[in-house]
Amino acid sequence: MEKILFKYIDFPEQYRIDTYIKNGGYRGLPKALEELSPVQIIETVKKSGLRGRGGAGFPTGLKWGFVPKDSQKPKFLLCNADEGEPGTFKDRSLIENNPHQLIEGMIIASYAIGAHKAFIYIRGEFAFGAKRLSEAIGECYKNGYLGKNILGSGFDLDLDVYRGAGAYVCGEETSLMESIEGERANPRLKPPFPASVGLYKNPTVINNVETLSNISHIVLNGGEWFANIGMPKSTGTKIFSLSGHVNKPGNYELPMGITVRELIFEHGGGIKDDRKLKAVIPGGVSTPILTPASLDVKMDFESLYEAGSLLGSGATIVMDETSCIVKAAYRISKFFEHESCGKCVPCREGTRWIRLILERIENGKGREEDIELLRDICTNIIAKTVCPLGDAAAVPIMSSIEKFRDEYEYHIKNKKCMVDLGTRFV
Amino acid sequence: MVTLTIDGKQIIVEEGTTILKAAEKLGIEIPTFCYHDQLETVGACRMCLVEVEKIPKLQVACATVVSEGMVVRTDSPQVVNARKGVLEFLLINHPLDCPVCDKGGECELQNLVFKYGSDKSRFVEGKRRYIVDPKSKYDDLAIGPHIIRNMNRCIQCRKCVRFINEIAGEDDLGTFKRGSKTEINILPDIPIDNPYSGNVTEICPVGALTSKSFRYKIRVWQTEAIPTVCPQCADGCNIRIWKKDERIYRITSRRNDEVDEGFLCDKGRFGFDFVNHPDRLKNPLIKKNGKLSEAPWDETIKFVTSSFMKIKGETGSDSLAGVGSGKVTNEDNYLFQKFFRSVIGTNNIDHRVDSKNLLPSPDTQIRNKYFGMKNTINQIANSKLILVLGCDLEKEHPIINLRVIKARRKGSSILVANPVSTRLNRFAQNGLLYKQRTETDFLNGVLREIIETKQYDNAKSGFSSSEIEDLRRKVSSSDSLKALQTTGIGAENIKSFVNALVKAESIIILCGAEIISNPKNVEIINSLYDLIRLTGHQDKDNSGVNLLWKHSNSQGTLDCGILPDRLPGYVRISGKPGLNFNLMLEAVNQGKIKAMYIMGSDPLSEYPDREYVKSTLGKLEILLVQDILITETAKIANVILPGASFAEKEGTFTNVEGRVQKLNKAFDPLADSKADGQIICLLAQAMGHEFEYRTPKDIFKELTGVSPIYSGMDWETLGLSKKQGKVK
Amino acid sequence: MFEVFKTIFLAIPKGLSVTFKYLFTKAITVRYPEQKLTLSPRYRGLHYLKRNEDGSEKCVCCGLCAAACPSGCIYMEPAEDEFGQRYAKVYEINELRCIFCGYCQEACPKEAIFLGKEYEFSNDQREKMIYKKEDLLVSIFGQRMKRPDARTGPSGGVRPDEHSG
Repeated sequence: MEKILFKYIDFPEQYRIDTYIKNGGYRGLPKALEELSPVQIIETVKKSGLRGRGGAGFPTGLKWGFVPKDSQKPKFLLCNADEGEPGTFKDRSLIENNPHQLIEGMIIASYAIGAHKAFIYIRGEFAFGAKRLSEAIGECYKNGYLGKNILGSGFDLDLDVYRGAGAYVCGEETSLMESIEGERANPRLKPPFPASVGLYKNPTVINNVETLSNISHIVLNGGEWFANIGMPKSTGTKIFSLSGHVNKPGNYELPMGITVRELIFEHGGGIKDDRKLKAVIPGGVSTPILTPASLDVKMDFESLYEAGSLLGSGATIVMDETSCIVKAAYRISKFFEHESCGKCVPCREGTRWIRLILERIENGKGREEDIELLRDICTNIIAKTVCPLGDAAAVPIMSSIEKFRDEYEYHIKNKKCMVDLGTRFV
Repeated sequence: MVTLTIDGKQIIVEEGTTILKAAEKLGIEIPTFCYHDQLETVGACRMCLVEVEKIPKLQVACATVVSEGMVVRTDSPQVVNARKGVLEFLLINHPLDCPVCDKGGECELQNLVFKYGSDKSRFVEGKRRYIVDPKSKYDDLAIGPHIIRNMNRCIQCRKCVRFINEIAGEDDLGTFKRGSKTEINILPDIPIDNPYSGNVTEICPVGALTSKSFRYKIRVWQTEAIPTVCPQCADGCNIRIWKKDERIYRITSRRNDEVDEGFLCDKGRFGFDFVNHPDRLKNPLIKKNGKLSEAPWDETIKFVTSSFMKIKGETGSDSLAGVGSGKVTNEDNYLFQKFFRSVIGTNNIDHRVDSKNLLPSPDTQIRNKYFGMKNTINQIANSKLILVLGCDLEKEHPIINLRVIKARRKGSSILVANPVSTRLNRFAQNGLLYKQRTETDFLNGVLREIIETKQYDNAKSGFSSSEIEDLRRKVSSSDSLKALQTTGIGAENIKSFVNALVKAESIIILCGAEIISNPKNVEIINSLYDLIRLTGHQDKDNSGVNLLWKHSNSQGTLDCGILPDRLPGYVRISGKPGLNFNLMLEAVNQGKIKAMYIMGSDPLSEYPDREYVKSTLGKLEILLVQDILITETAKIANVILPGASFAEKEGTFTNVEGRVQKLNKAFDPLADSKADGQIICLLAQAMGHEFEYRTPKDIFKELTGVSPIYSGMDWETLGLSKKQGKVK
Repeated sequence: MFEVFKTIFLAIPKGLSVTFKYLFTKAITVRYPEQKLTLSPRYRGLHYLKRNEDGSEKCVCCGLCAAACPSGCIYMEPAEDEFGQRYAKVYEINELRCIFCGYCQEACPKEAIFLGKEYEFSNDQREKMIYKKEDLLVSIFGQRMKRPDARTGPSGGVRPDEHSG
């Protein structure tokens, strides 16, 4: 199967504009600007069935279609490159190795929604990626791909890189906008949705790096071509960031709908030291945990949802028999306590409480009623917070209790871990 | 209109209404912490979650807009559990120090937990502490002159930060850190010190921000709240006095959306010390052998009346004069002028002791140029352009200042022109500084720019071409061109000023004390009226020239006829008018006036020329001062009568926009002091006149009969909040 | 007539027989003050205010005892101490008014006020029946601090919770 996004990912100097053009880059852009109208581009993207790669899986074409066409207000395109989900490292690779693929996609997207100003909000820690992007943008301005009158089409676009300051919650679209506006990165209430009231209260489209990187290929090859890859409802390829106890961790671009087993055992080279598989988190730590019983579940939005989990950002974390689920849950809870923005009550107080309880259990001071208490706290958080961070913090804990309750009970009863961790850490 | 059902009850509301507001209309309570209708809705506390049919998730009632056929449940098990959950989350880190917390007894968290929360705690870990001083057990921190913060109690609703940012337009309070460590704080070493800081203590749902002056004084349930009106400035904010026995413990706002929108300035909130001041006058004092000594009431009354009678008999009633005050009630002022006009028989009455340059008295019953405010306070926020001229609005009229900031937030332009820079300048699109006493030259420059560049609205202004020509000639003369140089304002600034003025859809002009007491006050006001006419706004609702008086009842004092040439209701005096304060001083110096009765005023501190007043008043045979404290003037008086403070009497104040509002008595006058009206009655009765009023209500009733502008007002319905009367 | 005699001459001995019966049984009353009764463990006598282990007063002057008091006999004034903390500047109980219901003890969130077992504190001066904070406070060891009037006030050194008359 031919890769789309990662085709030239390790090509030497692919990040340079001439290498990118030599390898077939900036073909979709002239086609879009010259041959297609904005409406046609949106139609093409709709036809392609492309869904957001950031985690929620919202159809991209539909999102673009929500932008009011007759609005006199300026419109914005934002690229969410605040890749903070533990276990995810696909956008970083796309940005650092093939920035022009993203920029080309962004120019087409801006043209489609009528934006003349676009931002790439990049995670603060991605200093190198930000540098690569800025250089690439500089090249684009020099070569007429950005700025006034792009390629003689009369379309203007300015693109800026905005570096975050190290908050996971900025990956949430409305906090990201607050952050760009210079405010505290607190998520806003929705509705109104960004498509009507977004950055600086203007219509805004916000997409993930991987989503936008796909655009030039879709425009070039047509929506049908893309729709034929993968599954009927989850089309195209997906980059899976495989990590954990596998022999060959890394980014794998594979068509949607491959099974978990294929991903881990064929592409990932199996579990390290041939140990037994214990658990898989399929879409970054904010998605529910899966057991080996779900190995044959297909990796796409629908199938994983049916299996009780989510595709998320496609960050597959593999845990073998030597990993302690309670400890993993404790580590996850610590992350979310640290990253909660503190705006709404359930997330701010709940994440801390969960961490305190898990810390107690981990330190052998657990009580029997703690398991039910944890479940109760999670229920009180899930679906009651302003943004999905609350859910993200509670769902993995909840699912770990459901699927590995025996481990919790063992921990509480025997005041120690079920597995011998030795010197290894999760 | 949208029809929806809440808890089985149907209601029709306007489009755009939130579920919370709709439920409020139905009388269904939805608990909230972070919601405040004056602030932007953030939906952060999650306390108002309700179930909406066909939406799987619970929705926040404070921000969810109603839609046709919506079915809302606020009492389903899901909602009840969600509330319980939120309260449990809030309580896990909330310290159980209610016994020492000043908010105890009126705490929203207490109330809502009592109503909706669980009675058991499942939290066994340690509560979060925000340690201020590692050596101390306690975490209280003074973050400003009035405010004490205890972060442990904070539930991070951030109403305080939003109030400071949005309403007060300041940024001296902010949110620091994130997640469970979120902290409300000031910037290091920059205390919260703005005139509205006290509001955060009232807005805080818990005891995280408490006021220094109320700290550990009393429990709220031991006090009694008396609704009344703030005496500090002419804005007339509605307040509650919290008292026990004879002492005021604190003042909080009593929301009236027409006036204060529920906010007070720090002066009004914390400036009540004078009521319980140890230096309050407790007994009448008579000067004997150059020393003031206490005397019983009957002796004092006898002394005063016999002296008055003697002077009246010897040199006629015009050798007596009375000075009223904008700080006492309408009833007191009405009685005062009645005492002088009918008992003494003179028109020598005035109250304007703070200026040598007096405006002409308002002429008719209709509002004219010198009346006060043309617009209402609420209209200020709706005007597209606000010009503040010669007024430090934040100091003089803090609540009107909030409306100007509100207008700014809604997108109006603010123009400020002052001799010195004021705090409002930070919001001003154009903040001009002219040299003192050059207001007329500056305004002429503005008018000239409008006329010369033909930017005036000829049709709407109603000016005839000859009038325009006259005006043009006046403002374009070489003298006025030369004068423009002296203002210190460049032509460029005038141009941009005029550009803003002519573009605006409505203009409200606010003039402060600087203009009212200006030597050229009449000229300035006329120029401003020309300006309004030239731009074509003279008949619009949200436009007009407004003079902002200084004292809490300045407007009422004018209305009640404390003027040498007007009876109550601006009825012109048929005969010869009396003397105004400046002329009174002259007459004293000429020996024509021998006795003066000063009620509530302090000319020695207020008059521009202190030494002149002091030496002049010293020549009087009898100087009777009636006040609550020994003022500068009282120090040189022969007789001092102890009056009552605003908390100790009933009556009405008329605020700057002409709204008549009722003061209620919180407790009896201190010691042997008496309400001002009562003192006047005693004097009148001792002089053989029938001043039979049982209560201020009787006086007010008579006033409504006498004064055409107060006619039709009813004491009972003047009562509370929205029913406050209004001068037509 | 006979009925009347019957009533007088028969009823009187009948009534007196009850009197005489008790004349020879053991006395119910004791010779107070030489003898004293044992108090019920739930007896509610004169109040006392406890201290923390570090010697500071437990009472923070929250006012809940005063709010709970049905006879309104507790008066207090809070103030701020040098550490910025709340304490009772004035704490008075009017023992003349008090009905010894114990609600104040129930209401106290700091477990500061208790009703002890002392009941001998009558006085011939009303002012002395208004107990000030100093009169009510006990030491760290639970003993009365003050001995204002040996016979009629709370006596120093006595443990109010053990004292039984």
